[in-house]
Amino acid sequence: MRFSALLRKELRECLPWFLAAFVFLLLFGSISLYSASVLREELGYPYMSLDPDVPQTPVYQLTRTGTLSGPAPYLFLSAIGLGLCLGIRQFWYSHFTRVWGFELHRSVNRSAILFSKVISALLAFIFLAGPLWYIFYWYAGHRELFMVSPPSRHLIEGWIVAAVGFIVYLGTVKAGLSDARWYTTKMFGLGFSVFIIVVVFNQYKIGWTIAAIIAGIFILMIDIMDTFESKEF
Amino acid sequence: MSEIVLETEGLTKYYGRTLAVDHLDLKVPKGCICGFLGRNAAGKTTAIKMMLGFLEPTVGSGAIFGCSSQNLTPAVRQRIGYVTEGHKLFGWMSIGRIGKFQRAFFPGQWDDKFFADMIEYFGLSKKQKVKSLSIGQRAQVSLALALAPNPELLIMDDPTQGLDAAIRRQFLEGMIQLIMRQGRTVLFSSHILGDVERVADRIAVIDKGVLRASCSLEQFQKAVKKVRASFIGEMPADIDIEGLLHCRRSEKELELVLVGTDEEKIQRWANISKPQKYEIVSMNLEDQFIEYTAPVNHKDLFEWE
Repeated sequence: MRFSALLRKELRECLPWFLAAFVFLLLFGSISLYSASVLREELGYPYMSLDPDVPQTPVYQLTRTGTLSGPAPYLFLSAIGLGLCLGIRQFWYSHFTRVWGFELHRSVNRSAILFSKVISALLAFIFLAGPLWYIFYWYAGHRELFMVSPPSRHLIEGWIVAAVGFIVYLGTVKAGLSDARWYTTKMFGLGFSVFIIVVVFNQYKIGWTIAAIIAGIFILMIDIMDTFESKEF
Repeated sequence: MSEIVLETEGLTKYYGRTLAVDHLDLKVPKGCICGFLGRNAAGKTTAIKMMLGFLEPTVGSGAIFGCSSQNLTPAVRQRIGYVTEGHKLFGWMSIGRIGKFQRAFFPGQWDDKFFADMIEYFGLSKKQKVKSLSIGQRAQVSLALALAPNPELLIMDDPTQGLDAAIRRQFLEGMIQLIMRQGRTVLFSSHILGDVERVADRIAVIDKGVLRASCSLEQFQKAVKKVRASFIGEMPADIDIEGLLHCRRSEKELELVLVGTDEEKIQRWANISKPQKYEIVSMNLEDQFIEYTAPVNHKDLFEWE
């Protein structure tokens, strides 16, 4: 009951940012995908092609090749934007508005408060990328519209891009919890997120990509949990 | 001796090289209303935050209901009501929603009717958004949120700061509602001495991070005295009287602030110094507090209980 109250509150606070990212991705992703199908018809040749038998391209190639290359940059932008906005909303804004005292004096452990925030952000990413990216993937799979259907790998790569947004969120949280000055070590969390993004996007194999994401999330979460438990508010 | 609800031992906090709280030894017995007094930047908020485990002491420790401040369990937190400085609440919530949110953390002890009655008493509606409230109204909501779970200990950090006289009175009446429930303990910081005088039965005075008095209000009021003596001839160069805190001289008048000096000793001093006349000036708590924490000759001259 206590945790669900915390979670409901966090989800409500995430909602405007989630909706903004969702609408952005839905709007621009749909337009780009639709215009890709129209362009193909007008020009009379396949808009993009990607040999599904040769999927050994780095993850970042998703944004450059393939049928889903149209909405992919928007997914990337919305995921990164959502990560930054949620991190700032949950951990920076509370500091500016000085509500930590009211928020933390609850009959729950501090970790419950932290996890309610992180889980609500995770749900926002899941609901951002999960349905929308699947819809784009499904739409791009129509043979009458696109010559080449996207390989199933592209579906997973879309979720990887969303996971990158979650890593940016964790980096923002880490920076928000740091008491250091902004020009010293405060931004290390975000720096580490950028490092993980570079590593993730340069993997050729999905397995290594997922491993890099899990490692990044694990390292950031351990650090965030430790900082949050001992932080002075 | 009555049960101690809140206790600190040598509680000390440094921010870098700045000493905010210096070896605070405070005991708050069960059932009392303790005014935690100090000027701005005296260390009240820092001390309260350390007591509630939001700040880590540099040295020393605190305990509430016997549980270390640094590791307050959810069960202990459930017994404590806390009104934050500035009444910072979630702005996007309505009053009704913030009440429901708060209720989830006090299962079995939240009093819905009491909360609704208090909101009505303050002339507010449950539909109003917190962000649309004035600071005075936020203070009222804050108090209702802290009182509705009927906490055994209520800690309030400068709750009447920024409120006008009418709202302050309403706020204090709300506090009295809690006091009327037997066995409840209140610790509230303030620098509005009239409020303290009205409701507190015990005070703790903190000055530049140092606890300078912790006793009953009555004892403090009896102990701090001001003597005004006028002289025709030359005034004595040295003032030799026990408990002297400050001495102000004008052309023909001496003003002595004394702590813990009884009238017999004042009489004895007068017999030796031979003023033309002298009087013990009556002071209210505010005057006494100002004199007691005036930034000269800082010494604890009085043995508090």
